[in-house]
Amino acid sequence: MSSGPIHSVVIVGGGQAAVEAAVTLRKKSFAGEVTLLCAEPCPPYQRPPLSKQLLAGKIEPVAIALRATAFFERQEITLHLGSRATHIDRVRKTVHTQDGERLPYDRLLIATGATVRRLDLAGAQLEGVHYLRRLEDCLALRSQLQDGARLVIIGGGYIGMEVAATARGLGCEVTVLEMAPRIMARQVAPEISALFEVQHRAQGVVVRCAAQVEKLIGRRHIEAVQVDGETLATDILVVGVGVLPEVGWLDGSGLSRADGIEVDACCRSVDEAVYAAGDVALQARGNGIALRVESVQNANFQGRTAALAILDEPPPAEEVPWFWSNQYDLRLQIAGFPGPADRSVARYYDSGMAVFFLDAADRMSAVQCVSRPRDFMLGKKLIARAQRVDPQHLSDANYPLQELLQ
Amino acid sequence: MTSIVVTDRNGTTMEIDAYTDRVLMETLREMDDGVAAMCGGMCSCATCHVYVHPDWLQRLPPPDLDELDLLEGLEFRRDNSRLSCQISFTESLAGLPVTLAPDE
Repeated sequence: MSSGPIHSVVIVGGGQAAVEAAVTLRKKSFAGEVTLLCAEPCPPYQRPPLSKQLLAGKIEPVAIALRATAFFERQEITLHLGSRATHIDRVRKTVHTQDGERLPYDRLLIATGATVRRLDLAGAQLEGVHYLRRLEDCLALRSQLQDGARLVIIGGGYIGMEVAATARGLGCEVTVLEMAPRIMARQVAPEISALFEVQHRAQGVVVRCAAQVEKLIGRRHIEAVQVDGETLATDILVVGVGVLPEVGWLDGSGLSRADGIEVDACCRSVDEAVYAAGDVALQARGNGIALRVESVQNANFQGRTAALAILDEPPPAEEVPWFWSNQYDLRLQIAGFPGPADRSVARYYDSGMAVFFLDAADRMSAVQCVSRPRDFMLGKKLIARAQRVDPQHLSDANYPLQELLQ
Repeated sequence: MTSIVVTDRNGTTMEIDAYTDRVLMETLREMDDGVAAMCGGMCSCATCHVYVHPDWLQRLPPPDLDELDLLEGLEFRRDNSRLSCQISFTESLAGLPVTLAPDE
């Protein structure tokens, strides 16, 4: 059980999980102090547009605010902007910041998210080498993506491929270098990787899989990339090779390990006054394996879960995890996690496709759709019901899937 | 101020100020029990689903194919369903009556 009355909740972080937790506390009429320590200088914002509409210049930063500033004021949610937490004193229950501030807490929520994995290669420090995680990264890259500029992207995951699509739309000459045999290999089925690769190539992107990047070349600024022994000239380099949980500041606290902060089903850590949510949280899933899940849905769900647990309220209704990506006019929507032994069933349409995953008992575990929102919504429901499905119905594009919900 | 008339999931109807020249979702997600709008207006999640009063439907630009497709997947879809992230709210829509749809 919880220890003592709660007057103050401090949330370290300024992303989706942090804001959702703060909002949930207020929605549940928590009257104590709610303070967000945001390491970045700007108010909380959504990250997904950083590789899409914002990078494309279709919208401006004000459009990606998670909430209007007036909303935080009205809700009496205190934002400490540009305030980076450096240390936790679990005995005195205080968080220390880079500016020497010490904030006392009754409950602490760690929602520090993740930070980019950096390239460990010769030349990685050159100017013109970009990463994409924060608003400032996006704006710095955006200023370089001019018509005709040559751009090499290392990493063919979501970020790399979204940047490729956006940069191509801005008229850049784009090459993607992916280490694995196919793009988005960790995220989607081979059929879906193939569909996206075809679209990228049709749009004029050079996609090189199984590529081994050897070094980055340049005097001060990036000039070329050496890949598989070949030199590829470029003006801009973007690195999208994944993220690591932001836990370095917790070293010695006993709360974290290198791969995240382990939490229970209600997002509580080993310290009953400390919770974690979002990209940084390692939580056991249905199969008992602890996972960090990097998604907006997960961040929101865990932020809400932690806030409710802090208030001793019942947990939120379970949700099927889901993800999305947009590249050109292709809309990728994914729900659930396929098990390692699950088989996949593809369903092809004139435009778009769906891949469903079934376990040994033909229960649906995951669905991955391209530009088929209807199949996605339906799949999500079938996953929630752990419903048995006849695979022949799934592969037959003429079979009306709605029938499965009856 | 330009207001709208919102009926929440408890059936309570209230008049609230709405942001103009922004999408309706941005106003609705700030309500106490507002829409989740998880994808932030990308037309990817359908968690900003509302029912627009039938008399007002014609005054809105019709939904595009993406929105229709997402709506089609919803269990609580009605003839007057819309995704509020796809409705640009302007002063000319003052008094718009909307009802928040149940969570899926």
